Amino acid sequence: MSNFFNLIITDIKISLRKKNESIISILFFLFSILILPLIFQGDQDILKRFLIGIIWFLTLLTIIFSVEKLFENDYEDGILDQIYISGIPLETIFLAKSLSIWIITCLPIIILSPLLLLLFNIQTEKLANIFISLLIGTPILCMIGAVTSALVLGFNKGSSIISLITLPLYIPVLIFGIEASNSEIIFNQIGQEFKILIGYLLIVVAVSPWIGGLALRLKYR
Amino acid sequence: MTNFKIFKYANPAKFLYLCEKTFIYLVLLTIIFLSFGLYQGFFNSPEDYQQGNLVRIMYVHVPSAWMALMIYSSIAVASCMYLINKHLLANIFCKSASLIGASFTLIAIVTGSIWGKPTWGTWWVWDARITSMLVLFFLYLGHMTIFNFSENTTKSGQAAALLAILGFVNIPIIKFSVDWWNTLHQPASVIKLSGPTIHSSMLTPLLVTALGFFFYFLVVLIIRMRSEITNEKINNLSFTD
Repeated sequence: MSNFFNLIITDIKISLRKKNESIISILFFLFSILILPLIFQGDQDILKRFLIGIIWFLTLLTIIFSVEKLFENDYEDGILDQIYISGIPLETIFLAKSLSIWIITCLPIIILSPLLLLLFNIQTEKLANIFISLLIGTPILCMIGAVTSALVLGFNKGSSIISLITLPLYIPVLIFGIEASNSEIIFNQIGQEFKILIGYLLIVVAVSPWIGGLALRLKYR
Repeated sequence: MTNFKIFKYANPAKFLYLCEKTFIYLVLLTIIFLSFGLYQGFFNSPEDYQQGNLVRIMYVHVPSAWMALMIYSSIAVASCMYLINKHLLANIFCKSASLIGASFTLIAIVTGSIWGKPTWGTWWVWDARITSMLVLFFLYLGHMTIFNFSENTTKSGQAAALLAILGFVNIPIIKFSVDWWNTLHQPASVIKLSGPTIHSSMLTPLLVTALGFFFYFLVVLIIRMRSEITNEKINNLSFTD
């Protein structure tokens, strides 16, 4: 267990020090959100209607960008081999990697998104909704992305194709996430969409480490 | 596991022998079923009271959609077998069936939009079933591209098998989510607990055409698998040199 946390902490430290893709991708998210009003020619009504969907879509793209080189960097300079040789199970490595990418990339987005809504003058009751739905939805996106990133690891040009493989798998999260963000919370009663999202999260957390570990193991046969 | 008789044919040589024996019959069956079903469908079945002759596109549209789903399921099963048993033939099956399934999906989408233009008044609707078919097409595309990544068939094959299983687990969820989101398509009318809601004069040609499509799939599959096995042999020869 301490190995697991050590892996996460090292990973976060490395990416903070190296300023690699995962840090850059948050900047990408922020800039693209701030450029948005230009597309709609300053039309406040359209912006209010679609902002939540746009936040979700950009989150999805950001995660794909940051997940692209998730294992590749470590694989190329041999760190992954070293961790594997040290006897830590590949499932643990996979889980630690996907959790660290979630902390680096998604946590800032989750914290920033209610502030962004305030910036665009959206009614305040949606703030909690988008916060919670992003909190539930982004781990799913990270884990699925990590699985596909592990799958194409070691192929030439592998990372270029990752979006084609990953995007179809992201559709349920996108649909339910947007529905959940737009749903109404009535005193302590959470909507069905939230429950479905939570169920999906549980399935993904239970299944993806095994698939991801299997995908990583293919490289060490 | 080894007690199953079917695993006898996991040996490529035996499989090739079986193909040799049955190929001509499969071609004959394809010709018989397709010509009978399509003739019945196009010329001998009643018109729809609302859509008129337009309904005849159903005899191509529906079977190809069924085939698209069936082929993806069979790829998922074969992928499981490949990951567990490491039968080379399962990998070759996945590789060759993927393109056929993708083309069936494309046929279903294109005929559907041709059908949709006069009846719904639009080529394309972001409706539940159309969207999930499109997603299925993208899954096929991803599965096909992963095979082209590396020359090493086993490596790319295992990755593709994992991807196929992942997609197969996700398909019901995608279907459910898109249903939740929006639907306009007519509900299922052939497979139902209370029996089909489609008249037998239309159902018979539909099912016969579906069988014809199935045998056509087998014929193309055998051709592709044969060439893939030959390819594999050539690769092995060049590796030993």
